[in-house]
Amino acid sequence: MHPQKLWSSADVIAVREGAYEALFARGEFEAESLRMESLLDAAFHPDSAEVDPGLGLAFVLLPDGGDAGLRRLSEAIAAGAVGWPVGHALLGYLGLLGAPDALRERVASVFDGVASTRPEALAASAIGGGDLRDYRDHYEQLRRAEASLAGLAGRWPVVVARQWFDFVLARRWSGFESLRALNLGELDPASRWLVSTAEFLAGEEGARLSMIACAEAIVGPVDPRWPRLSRIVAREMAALVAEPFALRWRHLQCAAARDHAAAAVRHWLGATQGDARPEEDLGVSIPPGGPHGSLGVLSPEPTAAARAAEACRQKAGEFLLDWFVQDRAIARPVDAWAADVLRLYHRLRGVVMLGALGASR
Amino acid sequence: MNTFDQAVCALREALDGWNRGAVPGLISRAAVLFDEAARDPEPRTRAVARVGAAVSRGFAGDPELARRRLLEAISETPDLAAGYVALGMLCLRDPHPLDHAQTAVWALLAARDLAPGVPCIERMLPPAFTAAGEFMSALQSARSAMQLDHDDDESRLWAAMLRLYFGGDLSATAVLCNEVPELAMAYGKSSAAWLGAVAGHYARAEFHEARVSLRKAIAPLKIGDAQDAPWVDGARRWYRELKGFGPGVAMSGDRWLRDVGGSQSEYARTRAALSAFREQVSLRPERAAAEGVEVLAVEGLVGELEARTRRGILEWGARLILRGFAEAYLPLVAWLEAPPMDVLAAMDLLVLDG
Repeated sequence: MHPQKLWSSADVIAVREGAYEALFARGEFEAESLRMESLLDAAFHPDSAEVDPGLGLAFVLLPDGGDAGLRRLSEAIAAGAVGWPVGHALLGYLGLLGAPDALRERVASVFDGVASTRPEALAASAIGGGDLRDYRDHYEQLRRAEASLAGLAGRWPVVVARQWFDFVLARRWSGFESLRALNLGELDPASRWLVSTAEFLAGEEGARLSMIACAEAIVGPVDPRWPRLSRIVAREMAALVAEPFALRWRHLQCAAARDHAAAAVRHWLGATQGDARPEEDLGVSIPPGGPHGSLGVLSPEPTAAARAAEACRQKAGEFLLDWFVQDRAIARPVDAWAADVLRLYHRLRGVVMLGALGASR
Repeated sequence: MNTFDQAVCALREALDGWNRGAVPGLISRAAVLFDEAARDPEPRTRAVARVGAAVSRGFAGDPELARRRLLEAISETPDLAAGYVALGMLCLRDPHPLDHAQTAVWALLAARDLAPGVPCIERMLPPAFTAAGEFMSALQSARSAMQLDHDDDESRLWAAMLRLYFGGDLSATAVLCNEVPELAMAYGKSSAAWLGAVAGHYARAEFHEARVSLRKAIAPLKIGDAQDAPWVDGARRWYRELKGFGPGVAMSGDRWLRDVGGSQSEYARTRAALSAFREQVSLRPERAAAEGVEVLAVEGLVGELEARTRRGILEWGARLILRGFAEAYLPLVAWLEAPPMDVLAAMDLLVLDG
């Protein structure tokens, strides 16, 4: 079955019954790339409004759920047998069609061992968490990805997303400051859009317009080909910016619910560490080079009581403690908003990545 | 005099000569004699002798073995309070009392159930509970202990520390700074009681007096001596954290900003963001109300944020200071003082004459 322009009912039924051929299963990578594009054409055809565009996601895996075609493709990319960024395009295809976190992670795991697709695969896998609200695990993935991509050009999506997680989900203002300090010119358009969502959440003036402008700049060039995509993006954008006061209020409530006392106590414990001169506490002065230990400079290590207080927090995970809010009714709308933002981010990112495929041809 | 009595006498003699530990030769002799007495045909003597043997080894410098032997003894004779008392005492006299605080609490509670109304058991419970972080139970135990023994300076010290840092009662500083050190000196106890005075003076913002008290607390220790270093450093480390918490329990005025980590802290930024949000809501009240946001609610959240943070800082601070005090004070006492005779009596390690 090779849908070219428009999904028919028969196509939909065939896909649901598993009567389809998965992408790249035959190994003809160029032809399969074209088929991927034709599937997108079908998904975003203006007349296919009654069919879920996500139906195209079924073609990524084999009908039995296997990923043999993808593995063959990743091996070909690793061996240099494919001359255009088809791995990027496939990840973009997933994002554009709104793939759930689990599917995106599964496909990304096939490509994260290939040097050329590694940054994109890490970003596709780590930037998520909205489906199962496992933001904590995704934050850890982001941190690991950021460390492994340090110094590489492809690090920016991961860096931006990690800082976005810090601000939006862990309500750390330092994350917002870091986002604002980024040089937007270095970022890809989707990451710029993500930065503007954080600014919108923080109540920055003009952030809403900036979000819209970024999205238009990304979707505009493909609008003639995929007009339905523009409508989907516009609808999702409208939902994101519909209630700025309520959203910001919930976010601030979550920020206020954080354990600021623990942070403050850690601050003063940290501030005392350098204060260890014997003349301070014992009232005796020590000549330079005098004895250490019980009389000289006290080592900076804290008491066991202070260590225990720190260890509890580290064991639980800093991000989890900052993200978790006891009153779930407050946190739920913010988490849901974050999930929607990330889904739209992957759509926009998908357009950018597929654009790279078109340009390379 | 039978073997058990000889062992008890040897133990007493070893403890009478306490100087940063029991007299080495005598405590070893006590351990050997207790081992011999543990073969006594009479079950109770046998059980108590096993406790004595374990305690002797604890004082001889092997607390790990002592605790293991005591647990074995307890499993064999669970109805005998002596084993529990000994285990609780050894846990509290460990160089790292916080690591064994839960065991101490368990053992001493069991001992109290088996032998209610024994002052020394009740007296050991407040430090055990404090080290375990259970401050309300610690305060209740300290009060029970003072009811059983009105001259109990140890429980008075713990009660005052808990009242000051757990309850925020500044009147407790008078007990810490004056009553407890005077009582301790009158009873010929070690200088460790002055450590409580450090906390009292600091809470009153009497920094010089606090420093003098710290020097008094560690005065018998040889400054610069490697053997005494852990106890001196332990006290200094606790004092350093106490200073970090700052004088007085109440946090007010310009200190508050410093307490929450300065103007760049997450607290300060959240508060600033709430203030900015309040302004925006007040500029467009209809739109905000349509989305369920009101100025009053924002102001309420600002107040709640501050109140919760203040309370949290006090609770966290109290937890660190009280547990840190237990960490510094208990090993210092164990280093400078032999266990009191009434604790040995509670373990049945005594000779009945006449």
